[in-house]
Amino acid sequence: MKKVLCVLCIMLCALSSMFAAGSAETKATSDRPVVRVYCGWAETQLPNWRGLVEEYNSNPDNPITIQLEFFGSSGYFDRLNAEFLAGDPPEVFQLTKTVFNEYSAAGRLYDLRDYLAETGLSETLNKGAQAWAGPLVNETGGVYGFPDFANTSCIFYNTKMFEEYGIEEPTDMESLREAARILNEHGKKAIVTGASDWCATDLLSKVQAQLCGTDILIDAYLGNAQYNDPILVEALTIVDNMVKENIIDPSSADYNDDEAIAEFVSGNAGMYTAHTAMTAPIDSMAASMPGFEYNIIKNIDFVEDPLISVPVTWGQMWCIPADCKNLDGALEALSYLFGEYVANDTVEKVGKIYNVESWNKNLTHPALRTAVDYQMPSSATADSFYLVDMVSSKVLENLNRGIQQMIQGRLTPQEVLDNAQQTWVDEQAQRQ
Amino acid sequence: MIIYTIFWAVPILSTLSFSFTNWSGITAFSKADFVGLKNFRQMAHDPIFIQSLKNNFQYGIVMVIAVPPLSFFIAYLLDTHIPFKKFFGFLAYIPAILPTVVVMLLWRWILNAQYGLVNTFLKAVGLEQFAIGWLSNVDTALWAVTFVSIWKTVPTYTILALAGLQQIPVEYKEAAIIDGANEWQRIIHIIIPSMRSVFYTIFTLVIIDVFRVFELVYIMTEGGPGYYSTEMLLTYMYKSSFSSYMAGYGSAIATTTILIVLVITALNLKFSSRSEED
Repeated sequence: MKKVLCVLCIMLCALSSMFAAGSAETKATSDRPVVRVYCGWAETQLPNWRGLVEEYNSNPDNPITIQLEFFGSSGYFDRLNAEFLAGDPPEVFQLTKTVFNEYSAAGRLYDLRDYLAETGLSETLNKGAQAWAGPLVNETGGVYGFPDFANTSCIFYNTKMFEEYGIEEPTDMESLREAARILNEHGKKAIVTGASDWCATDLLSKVQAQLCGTDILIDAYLGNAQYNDPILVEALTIVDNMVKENIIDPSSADYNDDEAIAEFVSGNAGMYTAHTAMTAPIDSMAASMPGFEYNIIKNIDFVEDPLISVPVTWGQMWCIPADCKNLDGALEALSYLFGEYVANDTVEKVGKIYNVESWNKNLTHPALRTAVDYQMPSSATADSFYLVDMVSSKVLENLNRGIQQMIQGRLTPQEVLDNAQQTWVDEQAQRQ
Repeated sequence: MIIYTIFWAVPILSTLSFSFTNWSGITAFSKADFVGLKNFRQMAHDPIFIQSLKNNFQYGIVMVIAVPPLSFFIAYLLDTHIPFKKFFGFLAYIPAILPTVVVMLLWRWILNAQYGLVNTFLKAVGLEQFAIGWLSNVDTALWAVTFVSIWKTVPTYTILALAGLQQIPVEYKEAAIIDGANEWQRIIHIIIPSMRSVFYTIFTLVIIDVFRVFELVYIMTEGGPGYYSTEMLLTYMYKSSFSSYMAGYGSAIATTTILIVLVITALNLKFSSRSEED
């Protein structure tokens, strides 16, 4: 009996000490500050993050609790604005480049330069991405956001089809013309794209970045140049000629992204032009097409002596409010979400391209690997900014519509860009 | 009254006050400047607003001409003639009970240039030259959107028209039959005059619907193709306010839209009351 009592006592002691430890742990976890992190995307775009955040939160040694919220709808900015207006914005939040420009110009974002220097990221973060993370006129070199994932503006091609028809991977306009000719001869469309939306302007972006870089875009945005500048007209004329020569198939004017990808994946077209983020929908559609293989063209010179190889959208910006109430907590959350641990997992499981080269070592997707190895290094300058993100949403819509009509043969490049400039003038008048 | 004030009066008055400012929507409203009627003056020179207004009126005229007669016609058939009334009645109401987003996505697929049902059919019967991008062609997109809107809207008003038809005393119709009136004469001289108030209600509601059109265009064409060929006042208002961050200008568009609806509805009501007095 004594033995039984003794064992029971020991068990009780052990249990109570376990409960005590557990409750202390719970108390520690619940007492630590909560840092709200808002992501404008849907959870499906970063499906591994929820688990990683739970893993972080379950560790009692960590100083904060991260409260991650995905939005994935246009209501995101309304919510963010409302919370800013109410004086209670989230500690960390994601912004698109255009909105980011407005926020950073208005002095509402915390300057991350010290943080980047302390963590050594100022050395490793791609220089093009760092330039991207400042306001449009960045005289002080401020960095007001952490640019998340890069996408290069690229041309995808059907590797098996190219092999079958003996087509060399194009490197300039001449070889692209030749590739298109062979594809057309075999009854295939050469390049398709989803020109009923942003892909229309993406076409211009590809040539503009090589021909004249970013300065013209910044100047036009600030009213020091015009969108119908002769050099931009020249860039769009190159695109127009590609349509007239059947390099870009005119049917693209009717397609949205999904329809263009369907043409590419089903083998009706040899190439598809967009940016690397479209690997996800291509892979999704290609899952039902066994044998379909693709990659991206490493480099095409649309012009002689291009400034850079491709324009890059260096990602959306992860920002902290200038008057953040819990700055240490916000920086801790940012460090975790954009640290090597989460990066390795995201590269491996989701296939995102980070702006820190060493974090992409586990990237296995052939097309994304090509982008990382061949395109990003040569685009690590401020001339790589992606036109689609460098104009107001109204001008972007106008450009999309105009280029769509140009592909349909209804407008000239000059008319398209005259209209874009007039839209920008009207918009500025409406804003004042 | 409190609920009305909170959910109706406050938003409308707020919109009105925003429309006289240059508020962006992303800064505190207190930082916005009062600009008087500038937003309204800008609208007069804004080609996109003018195009949206034109589109809205073209869409509206077709809707007003098509929806009431079609609703009445279907209601009349359901009330009088056809066998399997309940079954056909159910079929007729399906577009009204389906969620708008589903309907719009369905129609986007049906009208797709490459693999849509319409073009597949046209190609199959040898009419390939008519297989065009219905929603991607600037000449056809607004008509296609209007057609889908009619398809979606008519069933709702059919229910109203049917209720109106069933309110007409049977004695009137019987008396007309005894007097030797044929069906057409009964429709013109008995049924339509008896349904005058229902028709005015339908007209008023269609007019209001016309200027409230948003999700239909936003989902099917986003205001395109080309230069704003299907842009409507509310889609442009939304883009100005929430994509371009010009909440003041967007509010001015919203205020103008409300005023247009008020004027047209008031004229319609005045006309209807005068007609009833006659």
